[in-house]
Amino acid sequence: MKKTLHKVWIGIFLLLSSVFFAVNATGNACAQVTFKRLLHSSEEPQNWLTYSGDYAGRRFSALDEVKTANVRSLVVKWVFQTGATGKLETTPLVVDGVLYATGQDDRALALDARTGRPLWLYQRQLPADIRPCCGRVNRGLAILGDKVFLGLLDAHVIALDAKTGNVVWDVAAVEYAKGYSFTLAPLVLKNLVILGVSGGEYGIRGFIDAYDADTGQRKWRFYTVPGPGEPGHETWEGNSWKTGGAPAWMTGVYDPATNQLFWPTGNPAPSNRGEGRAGDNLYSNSLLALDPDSGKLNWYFQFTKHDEHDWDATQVPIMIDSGGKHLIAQANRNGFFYVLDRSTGKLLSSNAYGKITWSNSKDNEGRPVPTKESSPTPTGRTVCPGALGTTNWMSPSFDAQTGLFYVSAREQCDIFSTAPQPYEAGHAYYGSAYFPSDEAEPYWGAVRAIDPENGLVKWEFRHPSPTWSGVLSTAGGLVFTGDAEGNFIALDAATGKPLWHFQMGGAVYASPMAFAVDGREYIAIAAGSSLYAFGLP
Amino acid sequence: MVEGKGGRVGPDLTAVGISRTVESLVESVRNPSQRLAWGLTEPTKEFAQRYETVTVVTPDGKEIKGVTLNEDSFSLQVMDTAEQIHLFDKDKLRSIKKSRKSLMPAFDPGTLSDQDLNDIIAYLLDLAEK
Repeated sequence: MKKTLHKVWIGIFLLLSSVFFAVNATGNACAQVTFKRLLHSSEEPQNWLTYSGDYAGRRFSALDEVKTANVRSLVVKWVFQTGATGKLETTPLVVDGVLYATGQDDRALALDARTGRPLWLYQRQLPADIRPCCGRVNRGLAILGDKVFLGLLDAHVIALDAKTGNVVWDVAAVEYAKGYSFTLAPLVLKNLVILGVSGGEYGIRGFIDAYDADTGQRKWRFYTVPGPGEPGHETWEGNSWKTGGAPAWMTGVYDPATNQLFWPTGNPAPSNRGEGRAGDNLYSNSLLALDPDSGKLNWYFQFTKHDEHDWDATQVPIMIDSGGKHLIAQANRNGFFYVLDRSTGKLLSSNAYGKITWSNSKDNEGRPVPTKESSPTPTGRTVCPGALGTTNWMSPSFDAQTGLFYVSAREQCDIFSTAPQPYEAGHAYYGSAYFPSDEAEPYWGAVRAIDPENGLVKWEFRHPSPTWSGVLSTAGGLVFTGDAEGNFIALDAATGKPLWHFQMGGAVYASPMAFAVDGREYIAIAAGSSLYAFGLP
Repeated sequence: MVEGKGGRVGPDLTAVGISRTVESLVESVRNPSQRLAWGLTEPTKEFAQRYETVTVVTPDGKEIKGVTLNEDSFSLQVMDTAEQIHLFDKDKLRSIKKSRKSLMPAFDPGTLSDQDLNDIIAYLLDLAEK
């Protein structure tokens, strides 16, 4: 009898303790991040739960403590130095006072978001022969439950314990030695970790993967270059599909209303030589609408067919609801601002938002058509925009209050030349070279505010050189951005007038975000090798 | 400037013989406004394009011409032809004009013969080897 009572007490204790820990887990600083919280991220503007701040990709913060009237008082609250060299491209996440970010060479870290003091640090031991095309960079992570997720330069996907940084699971997605890598922040939805591969400069065959968040088991893969027998395969000449590129190296967006995942894709390979891959080269430079449960394609829209200028369409698209219409908009690297019906993929408008010389007509769908004169030649042709595009991977922002789409634009033309190049696995595969055009004006940059209703640029704030900084808009009537000269800048969202700036001492290769702790708003941005957080005194 | 001697407005030529080809050196003398080098990828421009000519008009109407040492959206740092450094807030200047025409005069064969130019380049190459 005594033994039985003892067992009962133990049972009661375990039951009570499990209830206690369950309650505590939803009320303390390390609360579980559920899919429901991700769906309703707008209800907790103090947190920044996904790469773009919400599933719509808006990079908009509803926080308004910092506003046009007081932004001149903004000061540095803390700085965290990664201690590494190279570009720091991260957008942090913030969950209940804890900031999670990535760093160069596949670092990951958790900080006290109030002070910048580290809670844990993770450093991937990367193989010596990884093949990142454009720096040993990582743009961020995703969070679900008590795990954070990263894609790595060695083409692995990992889950870390959000409280310790310990590895929970680690899976190899593909063989990195052939030029595959991950550089983007994954997107989490339901119980899936979704990410696309980098490596378009190496003649890879691009794909988008979904992994089980609990186990790391791959649930589906969508190849962005269709194989034999698949629709779209006929858009590739011969065996060119095997090395067709079409990477998917930026984070997509998700529409819970229609359960559609929208993911942008990059250039066909070789990037600047169309000879040998005749056809449209689907699904390069496209926006894909996928069923996130199965990875099946619902529709696609290809922005640049048979690209020969390295104009990846990987820019983060933004879902906009306006006048009963459900739209998705993208400021594309090729210089056009596109608005699509996101239910069908139908093109609604395309308007140039920078200097373009490659098209002077549109097809029946309204898609810009390239001129014959824009195609690269052995001796070279000047084309605008240049290979780095009118914009690139830096995130845009949409503010429903102003109704404006903000984007960092570049003005640069290049001379594109082309030459035969045999494919060799794991080696650069450009088929070309491009050089800044001596005939063009010195290149420069700008933040531009585009009205999606008509595609017109409402205002512009000019940089002396092109920036690699993204844009954040806030309910305080502000647009934040950085520049190549190291400034962090606040603009009036309605007019583009500069209201405040701070010299951070290093060029910006990242997109800003905002969060709040203890009711105080912070704006964060990476510059040089440091992460900065600003707030009011 | 060579081995610490000469003007500061232009580049230090002490080691230019190993960083530029002979053709590039000839071009730089005959046509100094031609940009010296292009890269496959853009420079980060944390430092502005050197030797770009800039002319500013200060709030009191004074015109200053020189090369841009650095620049961002809000400030401008200039060395004038007398090698004085000027630090400006852009919003306080009356005007800023830039030119891709170098402050260095172009030396055509009439002002600098091919033989003299060859001698200068041979000197620079010899200097660089030291």
